[in-house]
Amino acid sequence: MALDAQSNWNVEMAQPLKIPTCPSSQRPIQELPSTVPAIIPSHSGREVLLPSEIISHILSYIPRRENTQSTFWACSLVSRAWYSASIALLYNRPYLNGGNFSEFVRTVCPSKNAHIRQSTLAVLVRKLDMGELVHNASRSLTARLLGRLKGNIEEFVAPQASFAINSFAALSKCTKLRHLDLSLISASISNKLLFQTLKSLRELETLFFPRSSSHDQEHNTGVAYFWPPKLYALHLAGGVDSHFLRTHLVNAPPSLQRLSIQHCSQVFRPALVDMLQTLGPQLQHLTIRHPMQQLWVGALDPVLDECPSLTALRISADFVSDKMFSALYVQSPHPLRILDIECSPTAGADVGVSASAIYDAVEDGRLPDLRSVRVSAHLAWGATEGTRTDASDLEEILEEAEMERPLGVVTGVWWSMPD
Amino acid sequence: MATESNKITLVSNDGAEVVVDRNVAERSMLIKNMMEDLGEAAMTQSVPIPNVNESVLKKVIEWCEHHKNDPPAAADDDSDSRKKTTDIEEWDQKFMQVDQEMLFEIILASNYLDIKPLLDVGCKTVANMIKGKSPEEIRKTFNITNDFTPEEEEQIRRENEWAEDR
Repeated sequence: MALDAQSNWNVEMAQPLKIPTCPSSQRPIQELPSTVPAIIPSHSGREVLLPSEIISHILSYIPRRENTQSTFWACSLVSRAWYSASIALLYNRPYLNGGNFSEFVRTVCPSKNAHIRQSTLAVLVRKLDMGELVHNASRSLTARLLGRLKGNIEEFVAPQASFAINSFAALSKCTKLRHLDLSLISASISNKLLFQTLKSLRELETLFFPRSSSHDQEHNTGVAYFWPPKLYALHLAGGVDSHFLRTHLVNAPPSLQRLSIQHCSQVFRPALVDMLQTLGPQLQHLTIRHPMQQLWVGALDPVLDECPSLTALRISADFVSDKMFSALYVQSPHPLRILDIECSPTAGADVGVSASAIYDAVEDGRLPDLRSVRVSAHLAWGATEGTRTDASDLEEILEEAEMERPLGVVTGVWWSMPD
Repeated sequence: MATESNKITLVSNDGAEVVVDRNVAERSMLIKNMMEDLGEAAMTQSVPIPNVNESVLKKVIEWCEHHKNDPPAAADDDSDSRKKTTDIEEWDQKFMQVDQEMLFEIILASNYLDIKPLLDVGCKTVANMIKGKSPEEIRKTFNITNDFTPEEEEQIRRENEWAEDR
């Protein structure tokens, strides 16, 4: 996967912030609405039959997006050959919302009794995103739907309101799941139950924790949680506490390369630092976002030291200071390429990371691969002429580095990120 | 014969002989493989192209002529990058401004003759034409017969109602 600024931003964020990822002069070409070629009717009116595999090839050029859903719908109704070429694409990744969800359910789960009639269309669904549904589904319906799709579903985004304990049994049978996003769930979920479910999801690569997962009641049972062996990206939030970090997270599989932590009010610095000492060497992307009530300015200054393989870091200025870039914590050249610094709206005057501190680290060869620096507007890099000069000096040295040793990363400094 | 040695003769299914540079004709993997199998004989006898008529064959050769110096396609161009774009270069866009029947015939011929880049251009062109159309518009545009029974069509309409744009 290309390590460009935009992909990193999207991957790490449950709710991506919209910020420019490159200066307007080098903005990548936007996808233009492709011009419809002139359609010239034939004189003979003779029908030229295309075999289904050629129709499939034609449809492969139409991206499966929300705005093309109706095109795939239309193709399914053209003729039998067009139906067989389009139907799997239509069901592969249905775009569902409050307006069409009940119709979708009627087709995919025609009966409450699973034995009465199995829909042949249900098995075509690979990605199910219920993230936009708020009050449309019931808890039992979500469980039933998952039950119908279990065979082939690879990606699932759980709905906010209608996912609860009874959905986990169905979820545990979705053994091909690679991407599981539980971050929207508002009901409280126990970690123990969650991990029981994860046991059977051996293909899982990306996991977003429920933001309201509850704290484990029995801390001292000593039972280790099973982690999916191919887990690559883990996004923690909510009811994860220091005990979880020390006891369970440190046993994450070696495949784990991306970790994000936010909204964890019960995570204290010692546990976080211990965890990073264990997992740090394998991490390539790390995100630690506010609010994390138990951390303070400078608490995470050693983060680069603890994560020597990191190429992308996104961190709140609330937990670090200029010292994180000093020779004290970056002793040998560090491979970091992308640095995003956020800031909580409530941050006090003591919060601040300066462009000149980063400049010094690059100038002294401590961050030779750094190319992209994006910081929150709250850090006020644009406030005075002096800070603006610092930021543009930093930009200059990053661009020089990219010129000398191109890494193919969008290069620059952006200091007006919104929150 | 030395000057003739780089020409081969193709015969369309309606009996027309088309003389073409060998390197142009070999944009077609089918013809290229045939040439290799036939060896010397390929240069002296004509090559039948049983699935393609004269006007389509000439059109396909026109494309091959223009693209004879294209670099060979990457070994594995079935990746996502191929699917990202329906961009078509200007010359090909003009080339594809033919009536719908010829467009489909070019697609079928490039599939049969195994000229992948031409097949791709043809399919992209059709893809750009169907975006946003209704089933009836697609049928009308491409002269496609609705071969569903009314019951089948009704069932498909009902099952896929969730995906209909309203």
